[in-house]
Amino acid sequence: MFATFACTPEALVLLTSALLFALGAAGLLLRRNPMAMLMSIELMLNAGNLVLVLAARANNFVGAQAGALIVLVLGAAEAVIGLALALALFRRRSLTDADEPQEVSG
Amino acid sequence: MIGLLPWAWLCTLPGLLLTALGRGQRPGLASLPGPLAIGLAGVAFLLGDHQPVLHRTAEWLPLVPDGAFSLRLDGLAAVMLCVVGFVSLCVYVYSLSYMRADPGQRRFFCLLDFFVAAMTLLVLAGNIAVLLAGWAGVGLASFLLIAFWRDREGTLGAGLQALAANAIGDAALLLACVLVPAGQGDLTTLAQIGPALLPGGFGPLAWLIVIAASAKSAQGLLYFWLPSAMAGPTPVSALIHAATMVAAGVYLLVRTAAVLALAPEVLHAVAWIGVVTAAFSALASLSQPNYKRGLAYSTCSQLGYMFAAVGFGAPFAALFHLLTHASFKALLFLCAGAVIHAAHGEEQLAKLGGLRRQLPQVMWLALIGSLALVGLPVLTAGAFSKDLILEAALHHDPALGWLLIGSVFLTGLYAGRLFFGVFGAGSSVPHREVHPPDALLLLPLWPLAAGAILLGWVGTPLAALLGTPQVVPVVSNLGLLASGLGIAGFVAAGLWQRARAGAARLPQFGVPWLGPVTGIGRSLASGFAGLHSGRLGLYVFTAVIGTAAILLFAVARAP
Amino acid sequence: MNWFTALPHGLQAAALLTAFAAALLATAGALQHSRRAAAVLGGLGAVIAALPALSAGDADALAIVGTCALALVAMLLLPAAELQFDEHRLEGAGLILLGAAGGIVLATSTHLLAMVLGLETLSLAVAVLCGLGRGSRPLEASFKFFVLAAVSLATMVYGIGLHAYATGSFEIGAPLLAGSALRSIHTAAVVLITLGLLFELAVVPVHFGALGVYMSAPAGFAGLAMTASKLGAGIAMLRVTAAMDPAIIGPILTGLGLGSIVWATFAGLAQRELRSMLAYSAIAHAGFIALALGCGAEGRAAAVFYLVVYVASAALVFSALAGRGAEPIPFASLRDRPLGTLRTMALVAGLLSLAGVPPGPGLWAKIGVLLPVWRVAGPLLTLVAALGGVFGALYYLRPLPDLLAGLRRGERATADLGARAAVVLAGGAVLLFTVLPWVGTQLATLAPR
Repeated sequence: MFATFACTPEALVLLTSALLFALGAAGLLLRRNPMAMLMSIELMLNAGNLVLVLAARANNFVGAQAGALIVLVLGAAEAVIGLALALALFRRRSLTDADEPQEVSG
Repeated sequence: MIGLLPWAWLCTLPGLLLTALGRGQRPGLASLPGPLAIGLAGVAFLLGDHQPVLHRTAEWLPLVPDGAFSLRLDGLAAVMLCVVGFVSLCVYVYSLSYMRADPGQRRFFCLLDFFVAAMTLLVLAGNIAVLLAGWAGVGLASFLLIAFWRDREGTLGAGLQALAANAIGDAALLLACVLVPAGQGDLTTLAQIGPALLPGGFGPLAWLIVIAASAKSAQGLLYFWLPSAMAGPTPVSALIHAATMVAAGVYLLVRTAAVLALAPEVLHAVAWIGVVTAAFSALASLSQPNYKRGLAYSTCSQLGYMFAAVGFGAPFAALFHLLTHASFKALLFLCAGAVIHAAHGEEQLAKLGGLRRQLPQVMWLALIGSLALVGLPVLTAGAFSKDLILEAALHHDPALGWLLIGSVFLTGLYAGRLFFGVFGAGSSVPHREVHPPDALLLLPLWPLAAGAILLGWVGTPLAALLGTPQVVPVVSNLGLLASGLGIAGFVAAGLWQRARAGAARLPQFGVPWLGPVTGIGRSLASGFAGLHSGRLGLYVFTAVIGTAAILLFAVARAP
Repeated sequence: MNWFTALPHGLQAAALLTAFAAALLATAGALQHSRRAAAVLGGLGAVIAALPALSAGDADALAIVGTCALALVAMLLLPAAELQFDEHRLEGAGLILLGAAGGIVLATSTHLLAMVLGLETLSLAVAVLCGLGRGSRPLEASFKFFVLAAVSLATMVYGIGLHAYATGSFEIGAPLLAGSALRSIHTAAVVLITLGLLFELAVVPVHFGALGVYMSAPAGFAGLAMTASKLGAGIAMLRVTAAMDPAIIGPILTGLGLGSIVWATFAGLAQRELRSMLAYSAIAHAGFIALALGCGAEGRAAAVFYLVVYVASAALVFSALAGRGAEPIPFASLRDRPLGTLRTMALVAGLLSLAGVPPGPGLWAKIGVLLPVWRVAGPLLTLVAALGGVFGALYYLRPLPDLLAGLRRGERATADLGARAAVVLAGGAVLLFTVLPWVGTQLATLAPR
């Protein structure tokens, strides 16, 4: 039952999106550069987008296409805010280590 | 008119407001009518027709099984009202003099008012929810009053110890509140809950009640906070940690005695806890270098007697001892306060001594209190109540009973040590400059002394009133034996003190396990807090791996 | 205007708030020198936004809506005290309104995309508000919160995608499409969506970002963050748990809730500073709410009551601290720099209520939660929750003696009018729940079954 599903193109797309998500997560975990972290987050977001597109296609659900567009805009808006915050925070420090500011702790 | 009596718990709140808002003039005077009214309410009920007065508002609390606001004034509650009201009144008058020079005295009287209101609510509670409200309230007041002096070290730590023990008791009562089915939370009818409605039978409920009572009355392993609580001002030690709040545990046990009777193994455990605490605390008191801590261990020990009485199936004896104990222990603590006040704050027994000539009134008052504690027959009330407990003990469980009788000897020893150590002649302490107490300080001690002498005679009428008629014997063989042992101990301590001039001392009992336990707690706490390290990598790791783990867990479990 | 009246009430309010926010930002330059203008305009916007909902006429929903309107007004007064500082004034009022709009949308929508939009608007508004604080600590906390918010957004979007794939719809309770493997996909979707919402509620393991913001944002903004996010996420979670299969969601919520309670109680005991203690307390309370949500219909009713009591108490505490800025407040300083009589009493009352000590209403809320937990999760877990709840008193009550000792020496009240109004409003709410807790029942009965 799972085997029959696994061979379909839908499964392949799902697998791809999961892989993208995992890659994004791995990038987030392994990179310390704040810019790289933000890029990894965008990758994860786009993995979700891929699934939305798949859903639109598989179920003939137009709403999911609209959803994908909304998520794209959301991602863009987030990137703006993220970059602004990162620049403000790392202005005087080196931009290579997100772990470096450690005043908020305990 | 009689329908208003259950609202007696509101009596101190006007005083609280007046003291909080007032300016300039002597704070605390406005608070005096409150406890007097509470005591008079108790007396009015006892002199009236003894019909229980109930008040119940349905559905005050949402989502709690028995969420009604239920007040109940019956004979037991009226006796407690008298204890709380009159002892508080004495302590208030005492505090007017004792705390006169303290800059925080306004706050002191407000906190005392809050405490008395919460204690009265506890006593008048008709069901577990309202009891819990009063219970937690007295715990809060106790903490704030122990930690009253902000400029002294260690008061906050002592207060937190009291809170920790209190927390365990509160958790037990919370669970009891949840356990009791809807509409059946009335404290007097708990035993009539159908067994089908209580999962596990009456055993768990009884255990929860016993744990809560032990936490409040400093019994068993939960005793550690009471000696530390002596860091608070002496009026607080007298009122809260001798006469009223610590007695709340005993009150709870007496109130729910029917439930405990349905769980015999729990009852047996209560008897053991009581006797063991009584014996060990008496021993511990012998080794305390601090006057007030010696008295604190004495309180532990006497509360152990009361617990043991409940465990032996004699709740009236426990209540009677609660009554007499409130009187003589408050007297002893207030005398200690007078001594400490006169000696300019000195609390160590080694530095106090030979105060017989300088504080004669205090000495006589302390003697009355000590003899009541030891149990001088006929002349002091302590003997009546203690004998009743010992009778029940021997009747029910002779082994424990003889252990208890042995602790009477220890009681005499430590009482004598405390009395002669401070007032005895032949002390090695050089003559110290003592500032004599004023009349207002000593005034409230006389009614307490009168109570310590005369309260024994109310035993028989009280028993009849509470529906468990029994004759409280004036003297009995067992009583004479016990009192003899006690007096022997007292005199022995006096002779020892005279011979060695108070120089010898037993090794000190502390609370050795408290340090390691607190240490473990502290390392756990800093461990968890340390995880918030400021490293974004750790946060992201936790979030991502946590999400993955939960996802795997859920998908694997799904059908 | 037809399109406006056709929207659901929540979206109408959100639209109005957004319009006001835009207006504020557009006129920012002109308003720069006026201390009160931002707060007044913001409050006006809040009242006007609440109007369409109040005119609903449906008596059943009126209660919820009325409460929400009041909550909104109180929460907007809370951060108003921070607007007296120059660096906050320009963007602060606009961001507050936007955040409120996001919270409203999050709470009132059943459509997953709307929920995500509301969630993100609220999170991002909170992040930027935090970043406006003076010093480097708020900015650092803001960035870290942002990163974690973005991660949770990505998770939630993936979950929504899977949900759309498995059910062909964005409505929460939509039935599964026919298909063999779709069950697991649907389960995964539900879990991911729940985790996305739980980030806003701030439970373990996604609580670190919120912790930093609660600790180091300016006090009024932290109060807004706490109350708005718990309310929004809590109400959204009510809908989600009512619609989804309890066998999947229940154990997750219960487990995460208990974990949060244990973690936050231990960590809170180690704190010597008021702001971080309150931050950990927020995590512990979030744990209680999550625990209640995981315990069936009774648990949901208990969660509503708990939520309302918690929001009132937290609002009271933070309105007392509003205007103090973003610096830590060590316990030792409470005696030396007292807050003033009204604010000290408010702080005391709020701490008592959060601790669950009578006369505060917190105790009844806790008992209300413990009962469903006992019924669903068993006695051992109830014991853990009860112990976690009562041991919290140790860190809540620790500053109390110092606070009370500083009472008479308090400086004359210099609190901003907005903060004082917030104190009175929040204090009134807490008092109401103390004396008449059954008012909470009325709200609890409105919880979705």
